[in-house]
Amino acid sequence: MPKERLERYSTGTDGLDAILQGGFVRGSAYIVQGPPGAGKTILANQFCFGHARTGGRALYISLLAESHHRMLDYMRELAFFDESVIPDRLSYVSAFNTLHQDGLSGLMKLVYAEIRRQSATAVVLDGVFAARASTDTDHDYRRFIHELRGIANAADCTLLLLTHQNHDPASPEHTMVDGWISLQDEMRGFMAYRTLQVYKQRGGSMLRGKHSFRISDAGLQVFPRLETTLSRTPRADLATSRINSGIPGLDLMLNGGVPVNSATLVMGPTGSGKTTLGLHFLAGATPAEPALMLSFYETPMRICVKAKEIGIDCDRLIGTGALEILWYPPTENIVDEIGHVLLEQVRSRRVKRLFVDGVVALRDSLVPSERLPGFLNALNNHFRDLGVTSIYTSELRQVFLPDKLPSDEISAMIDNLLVLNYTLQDDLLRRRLSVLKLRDSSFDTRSREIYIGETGLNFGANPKLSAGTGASA
Amino acid sequence: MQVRNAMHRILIVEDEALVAMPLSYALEEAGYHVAIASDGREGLERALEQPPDLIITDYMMPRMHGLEMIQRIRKAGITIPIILLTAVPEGNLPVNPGHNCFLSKPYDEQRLLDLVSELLDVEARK
Repeated sequence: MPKERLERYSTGTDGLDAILQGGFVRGSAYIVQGPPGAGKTILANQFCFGHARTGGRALYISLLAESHHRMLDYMRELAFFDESVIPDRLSYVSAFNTLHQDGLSGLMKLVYAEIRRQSATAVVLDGVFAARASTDTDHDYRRFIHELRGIANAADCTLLLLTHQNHDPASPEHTMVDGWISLQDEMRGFMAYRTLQVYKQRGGSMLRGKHSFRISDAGLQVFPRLETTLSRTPRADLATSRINSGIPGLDLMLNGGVPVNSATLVMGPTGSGKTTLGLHFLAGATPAEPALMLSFYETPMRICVKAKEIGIDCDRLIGTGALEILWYPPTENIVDEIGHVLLEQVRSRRVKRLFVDGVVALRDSLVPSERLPGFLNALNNHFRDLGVTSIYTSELRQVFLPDKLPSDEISAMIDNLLVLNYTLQDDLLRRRLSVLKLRDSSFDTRSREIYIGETGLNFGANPKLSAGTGASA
Repeated sequence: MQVRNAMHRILIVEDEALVAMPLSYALEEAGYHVAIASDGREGLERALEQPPDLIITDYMMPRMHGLEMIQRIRKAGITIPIILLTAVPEGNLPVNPGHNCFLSKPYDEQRLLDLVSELLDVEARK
């Protein structure tokens, strides 16, 4: 007989649903903790509004001396706000006076009575630390939490307890509730970033560790750490077929083209032709097999201009739906958000070719930056499963071929490795392309001279240089 | 300018201290005697025990919502003016359960005081 699955309510946030493997368990009690401004109120309201919209009845009880209308004024600015559910499906009451006049027992009776009176299926108790402060003994407070949980279970009502106190994992409150979520505001240098961690979820698994989230007009958006979302089922094997790189000479070096579903890293110093190589790859896209580019350093407009200079009409590709260019300036990005946007675009548009220009920009935004190999590994495994062939670029500081390539741990995660470098010959800088690795396949091991001309990247010597003009292409 | 009768008693029915207290101060400054009930049930009990001259009530409250309180007060034959002061949009309210006026939170203090004065004047002329 199949095991009965616990019913879950969406948290109102897709990313948090994914972390909790479906959402809040019905009838369970969760502590949501975090310092003031961490996002607890927004998370709780987002849950309540979503719950109300999908047929539930939510009750928001505040133990704080703040007005509901002021809180609703703030929530009104957020995308999830829906005036139509108030008050029939989402009701706000204050228990501040009750707590101060009648103590914990009075508060308990009020919560019980309100759940019944309003037939609530979800309750938020905001300011649970005020309940703690109202009693002198830990024993009374623990009993209060315990009884609250009992009320929630008995009424089949999901309960969120919001507190700004940072309890340690062994504290009684956390052993008594079914789930425990922590929201934090952290700093890296001058950069602030928000993280969410689920420490406990009784009755189910969760994606462990810290996950990034953002608060904006869209509300609270959670981006599960990509490494935790990797399926444990065997990934698709590398296909034996090839996809053209857009550069005939390179296809020859690669024994027919880029292996389908593979990830290729192109390393080289500035100006060596990494982006040009990527543009050739994108040019092979069609509306039936579209491409996606992720750019950090150049805007889509600039890329289209650059492509036009080498005869690639990006505007036409974009107009026909064969290409989409995403631009994330290398500022304070949430890399997991970028990863999830990429995956969503790949899935919805059935992308077959992906070009990520500037892996270093990903590393610079990752916290900690050492996550890059694991992050890329997770991303590539997702792309492989989705049938995407991807090319990444990474800048080398060395102009000429170095003795040792940096980012060894990244190259280990990549299927194929190409290196662009300069050589100095007769006082002329010449470009060269080498294949260092092509997973499970033979390849041309020679370093080949290339040049960038009016038609983009070409193999062989630059005819303008050969003619002795000294002019570069 | 209307001369306010300092004996006019106003009952505020409001669960949020941050709303009830400033409202209470404003009304007392204007010369009214003010009592506060912190939920609909307490408000109903006070209104039935000793009807005030005017009630200002919230809607969403523990134990009993403001609209249920208003309905029960009217059912008891009490016709005093009632102002519904709430963050709930007026369009989301059921058909008028018996309040005389609706005012949205956050409220304009002078508008509220003018409204209280008008309603009490009308009541006094009856």
